[in-house]
Amino acid sequence: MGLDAKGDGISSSTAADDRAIVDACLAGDSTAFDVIVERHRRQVYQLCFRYVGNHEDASDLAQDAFVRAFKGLKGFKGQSSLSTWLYRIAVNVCLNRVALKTPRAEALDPAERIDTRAERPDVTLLRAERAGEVRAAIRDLPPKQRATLILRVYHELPHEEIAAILGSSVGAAKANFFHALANLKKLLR
Amino acid sequence: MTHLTDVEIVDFLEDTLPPPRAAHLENCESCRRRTSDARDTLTRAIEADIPEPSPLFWDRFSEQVRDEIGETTASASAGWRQWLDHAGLRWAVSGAIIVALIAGAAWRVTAPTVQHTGVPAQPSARDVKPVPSGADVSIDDGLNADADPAWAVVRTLADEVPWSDSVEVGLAARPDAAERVADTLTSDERSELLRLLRAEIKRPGA
Repeated sequence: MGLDAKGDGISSSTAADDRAIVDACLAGDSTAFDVIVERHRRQVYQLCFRYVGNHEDASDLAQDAFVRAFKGLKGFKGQSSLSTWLYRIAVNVCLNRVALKTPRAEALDPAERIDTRAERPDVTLLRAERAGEVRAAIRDLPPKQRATLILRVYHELPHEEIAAILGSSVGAAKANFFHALANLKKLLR
Repeated sequence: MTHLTDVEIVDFLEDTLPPPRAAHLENCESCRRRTSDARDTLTRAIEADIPEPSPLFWDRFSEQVRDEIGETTASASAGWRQWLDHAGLRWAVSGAIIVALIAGAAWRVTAPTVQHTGVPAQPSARDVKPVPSGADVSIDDGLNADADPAWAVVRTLADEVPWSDSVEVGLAARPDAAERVADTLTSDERSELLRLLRAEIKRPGA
């Protein structure tokens, strides 16, 4: 199915590494947070992009998420992985921003890299169109269903972590995921 | 056997549904259709990739985050001093603190010692330290203004107030200010002030 059904949770080495780098940041090591940004920027950006559907807003949201993460580093207790903690912040940033602004339509991004794999142009175009339709449909999902689907499908977070991020039970997170798929199907008709 | 719930359909898609419950699908067209629809939508969602920004974007992204954090840190450290930029508020608060400090200093000089009986004792001759003749006496002797936190606050605030502002709003001393203050002192206070002034005059280098 392409999803990590159970999720391994955080390994001890990852947890130790997360703790060490957060401690370094808190101790005043100015380069330590740069490492955090570099390791997690793509994932955070992609989450934001899927949430809002355009490059400019996604970039702003992702930057905002990292700034908030820096300010709130003392609040990282190590109970989840650093990536999950960052996802939580990014989701909250997206939820708050979407509540305030109407979404910008997805535009062609000049920074977008063209896939140069050897495939027929019509296939490439069709794939791109279908992907665009799915992204647009995801943006029309209710906020928490949208967040649930993005975190599960594209970031492969286990339902337990999604539930913790969104402040719900595991059962509610799974039900949310099912409803997201059901609504997505309706939107794609 | 009851139909699969929404949660159980998700578990089935993720291969975590116990086999006895999964067996329901063999005999239920409705649940098979719901499961199939969810699987097809999930597959289509997985295939929907997103455009990847250029490598230049990522370099610039890290730089912008760093700059924004730097601005945030700088504004936070200057936050408590930002009110000083408002001249009107600045002189008003500075003036209030200076008045409070003068009142506090005057109280410190004149406050009598309280005995255990609760009756304030009058200062005796033994309480007044004689000035050693020819000794290097500092006018701050006994007051230790540098260790006074209130004075430290006033000095910090005053450093930020341009002289022209303080003159304009009346904080700077006027020509007759010393005389007017002296008129308000009691006789004991005047004696003490005279003693301090004489000691300062006698101080080498004064």
